[in-house]
Amino acid sequence: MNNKKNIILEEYENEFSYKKSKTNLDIQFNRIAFIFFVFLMISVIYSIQLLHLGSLKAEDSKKFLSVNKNHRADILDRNGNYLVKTVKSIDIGINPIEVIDKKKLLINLQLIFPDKNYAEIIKKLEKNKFFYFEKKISSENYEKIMLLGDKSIKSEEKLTRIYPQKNLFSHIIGQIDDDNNGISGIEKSFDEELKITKDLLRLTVDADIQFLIREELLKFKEVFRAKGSAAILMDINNGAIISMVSIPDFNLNERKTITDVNYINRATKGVYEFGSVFKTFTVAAGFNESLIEPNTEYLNLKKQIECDGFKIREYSKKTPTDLTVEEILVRSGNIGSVRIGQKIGKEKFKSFLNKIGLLEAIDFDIHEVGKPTPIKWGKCKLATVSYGHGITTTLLQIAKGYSIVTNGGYDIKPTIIKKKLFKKDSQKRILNMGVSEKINKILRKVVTNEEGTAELANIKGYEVGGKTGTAQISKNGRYTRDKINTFVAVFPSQKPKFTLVVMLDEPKTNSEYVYYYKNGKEPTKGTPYNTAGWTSVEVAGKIIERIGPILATKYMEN
Amino acid sequence: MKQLVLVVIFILILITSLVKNSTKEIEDQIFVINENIRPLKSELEDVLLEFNYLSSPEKLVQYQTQYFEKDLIKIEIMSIKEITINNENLEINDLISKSGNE
Repeated sequence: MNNKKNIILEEYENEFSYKKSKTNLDIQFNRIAFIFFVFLMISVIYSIQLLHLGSLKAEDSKKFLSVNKNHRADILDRNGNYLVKTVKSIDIGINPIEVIDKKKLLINLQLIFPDKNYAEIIKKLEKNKFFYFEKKISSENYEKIMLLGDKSIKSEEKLTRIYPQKNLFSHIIGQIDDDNNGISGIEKSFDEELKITKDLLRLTVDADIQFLIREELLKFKEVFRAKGSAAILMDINNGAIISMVSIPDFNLNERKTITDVNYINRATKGVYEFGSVFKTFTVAAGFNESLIEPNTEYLNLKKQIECDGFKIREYSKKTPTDLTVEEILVRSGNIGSVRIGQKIGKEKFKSFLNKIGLLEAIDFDIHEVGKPTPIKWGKCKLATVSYGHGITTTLLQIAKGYSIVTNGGYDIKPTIIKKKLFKKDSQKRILNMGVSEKINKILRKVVTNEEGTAELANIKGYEVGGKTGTAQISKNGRYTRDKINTFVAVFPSQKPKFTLVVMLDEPKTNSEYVYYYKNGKEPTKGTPYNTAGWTSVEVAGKIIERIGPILATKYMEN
Repeated sequence: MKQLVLVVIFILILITSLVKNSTKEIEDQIFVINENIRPLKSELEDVLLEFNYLSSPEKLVQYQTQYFEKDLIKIEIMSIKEITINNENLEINDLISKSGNE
């Protein structure tokens, strides 16, 4: 038996083989990718941040800068004169808990400050609470008090604003509180910028001109016993405010809390009915719509018309019944202005007034800005607004409106900040060509013609043109005998450069005041009527006479 | 080659340190000058403030009434003359033309 045993060796296949695990490989790759990804993300975020900062405007980027509590930029006028200067001062306080020898301390303090009320200081020391011993200490006394070496004496550096021009710019500059926060005027509206910027803030105002205008306003406030007054001098081509005065004002160095409403900024905050100065806008709107020309005639004008039970009369009985548009403005005719307004129509007139910025609150550099009372354009509104009644606005808006209608029809933005100024060429023309030429000629005649209402402002050499406005003040919904007398002067008439607006709040007649005429007529004593022609025009004339030589030599070439 | 690269790197390091050293001196000088300017600037500001106060319109009017009543007089605009140089010739004209629109 041949048993063969076959041993079959099966091929052994070892399935184990060392390979680099694919998963391992992935992990390594992912690690690199992950780190790369993290770096990429960081750089992307960083780049986005850089791009964001780069795209910010200069003003916005300043917000990211830290605010220094003890810094506030100085403010200068257009000639580089200080209007506000920051100085550092030191306040000295005492912490009674840290006093070792009260008697010794009091004797030492008495030697340095002999005039202090020490009975009160002893009381404060006994209360064991920190108190200020002396504010704004002089450097000499500071040195002496610190040499005492008493650890209860604490010094604190504070910021003080000095106003070398005292009252002159009180309404423009405004005030700050004890914590270096602006509470009114430029100090409030430019609060953040003043705290951050290392540069000086330059204004468009001129301290010399401001002084002269203020002096005249103060003088005539007494002459006409006015409650208050205001004036604005503006460059009609770029809206730069050279002077802005509101009386009464206050000395900024005294740091008083003012609660009396009579201290309101009458140039920007006070909202008034200005009367006939609006007639210029009515006529300008007519010219702009090509509906009238200076020689367009209005015949058979009534002396009195009635609208919804409301009587509209001519101011003077001498006003002729047939007048041209030019004569209506020169003689300040009410009925003629109503007729022009009616010809223009409500919508067009409203649009014109809106275009020159009279109906809405003005966007200005200080917060103290008045909002014109909204007009309900009812049945008679067009008629009354045509001659300046039933419509309120601010003095600043009147100055802006006159600047636009006389500068060739270019839109301007009144400003007191020098860096905000821009050239006339870059401004938008909003009125048609020729409107200003016609208006300027008529405004000049208001001053030169015998029938005109502003003869007293005809100052030799200045070619003054302008328009008067006498409006009764409405109190509790009824017109009173008190008045707002306004005169808007534009000069020199041939190529206007300045608008001067003078407003007197509740002036009275003065029987002793002597008027000297510019055309050689005999002087007259006493104010015959309480109208703008006899009050505001006289003030404006005197102002132009005083500031004129400065304007002619310093500003005409610019 | 390797040596050359090392030499170049060494030279660059040397030059950098020399330049840095010289700029450091300039930086120090700038710092010192700036520190010296600071009090002068502050002094100038104070003097300017004083000048602004003393020459403010209010003070000028006060001086005029006190000391210079006869010297400081108001000039009428029609009396103001304008000097122009035209081809090396001095021309004096009225600032406001008398034939103007008066």
